[in-house]
Amino acid sequence: AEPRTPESVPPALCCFSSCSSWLPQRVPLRGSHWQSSLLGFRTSLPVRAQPKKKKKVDVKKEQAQKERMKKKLKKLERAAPELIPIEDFITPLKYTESSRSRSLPDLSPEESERRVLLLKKWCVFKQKQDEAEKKAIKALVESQQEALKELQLESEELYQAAILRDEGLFPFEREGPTYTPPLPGYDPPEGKCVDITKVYTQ
Amino acid sequence: SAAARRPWRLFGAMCLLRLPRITQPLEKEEEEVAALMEQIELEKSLYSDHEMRKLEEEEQLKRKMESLYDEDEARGKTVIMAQDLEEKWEQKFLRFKAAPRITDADKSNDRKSLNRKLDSNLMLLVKQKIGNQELWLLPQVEWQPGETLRSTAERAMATFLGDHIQAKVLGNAPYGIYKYKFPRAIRTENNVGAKVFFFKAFLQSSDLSQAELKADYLWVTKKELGDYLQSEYLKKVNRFVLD
Repeated sequence: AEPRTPESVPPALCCFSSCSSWLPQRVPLRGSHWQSSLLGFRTSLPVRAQPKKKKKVDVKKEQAQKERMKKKLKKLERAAPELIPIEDFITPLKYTESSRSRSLPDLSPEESERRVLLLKKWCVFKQKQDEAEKKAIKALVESQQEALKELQLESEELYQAAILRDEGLFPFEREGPTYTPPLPGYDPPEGKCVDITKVYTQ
Repeated sequence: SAAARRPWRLFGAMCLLRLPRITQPLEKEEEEVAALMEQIELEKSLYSDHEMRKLEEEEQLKRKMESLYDEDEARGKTVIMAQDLEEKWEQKFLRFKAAPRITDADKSNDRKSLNRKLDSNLMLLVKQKIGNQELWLLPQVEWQPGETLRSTAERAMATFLGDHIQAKVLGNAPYGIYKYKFPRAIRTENNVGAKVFFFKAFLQSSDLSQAELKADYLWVTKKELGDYLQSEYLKKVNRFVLD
């Protein structure tokens, strides 16, 4: 039902004020439930009449906006992820300046000759080293095979126990040798390590 | 079991290796090639930031000397030169004294110590009584029925070095075998000879002060094995010990 216009309120207010004389006159009375604020006529807070239409349009607009955002997000997700740049493969630009290149005297022919001959000797040295290693490994394997053969001749159950895989052997970890042995009672200087690696997320 | 008893007695022996702690010295060719590689790397490189700074400061210094510019004094602050930094680093390096590669044990040739020959493998040898002879051998102990050969070898290690030894045995299979026949005097139908199976282990704990060694022992390198072991035994051991 259409609410009564504020003009129709005053008679009710008037009669109310005359009937209830014990109420303090300072506080404006709320005569009717149509007047929802204590402010008086025509100064009420938004009443139900107009905003209905506004809300409808707003809701539709908001929904349309949300759908557009969702579509954009879906498009972005479907696009291939950007590749993480490998920083080692990108030379920083400051190293392309010409002032950085070293100026050293050119190699004399004797020097280049010496280098070539040295590298050839190195080839031979490494080949001999490799052959010696392979020979040692071969001897090791042969020795082990012989031992296992003898063990099998001795007793089958010991042989079976010997060819079982040793689970506790791997992963095998060992610190490699250093140039000098560890110094007993050495107190290394304290310092803080700040990690500045760039982490990329896709 | 119903199987005929084999006439061979079985022994399990442990070859305990102390792995090298420092790098071996470079051969002559290796040193020459290392120097060459460094030279080539220097030739192909560009100036680093520190070197650029050093060059600039040298230029500034030269200009100052020649034309008596006092730009730096005009700025009013003391500048630390790259050269000073280098000298400071050099001083700091010289003040540090690393542990010597050739230890006291090396100099005195104390074969009982583990600190000798830090750049090669050291093996344990013990003096054991076989028959009526005292021989230098890898620690060995007779196999008892009911245990695997690997546990025999571990038992051998424990008998000579105590229980607190931390060693990593490399696998369940034996690495080598040495079989010998007893001298005719004690050879019988059932007791022809003995087979000694060798196992390898790496010593993990570096300090053996707790170990109670009950017999004469030595820690030797592969080259020094020849001083102590019998020739046939040595031949078999050399096959599975890498230098």
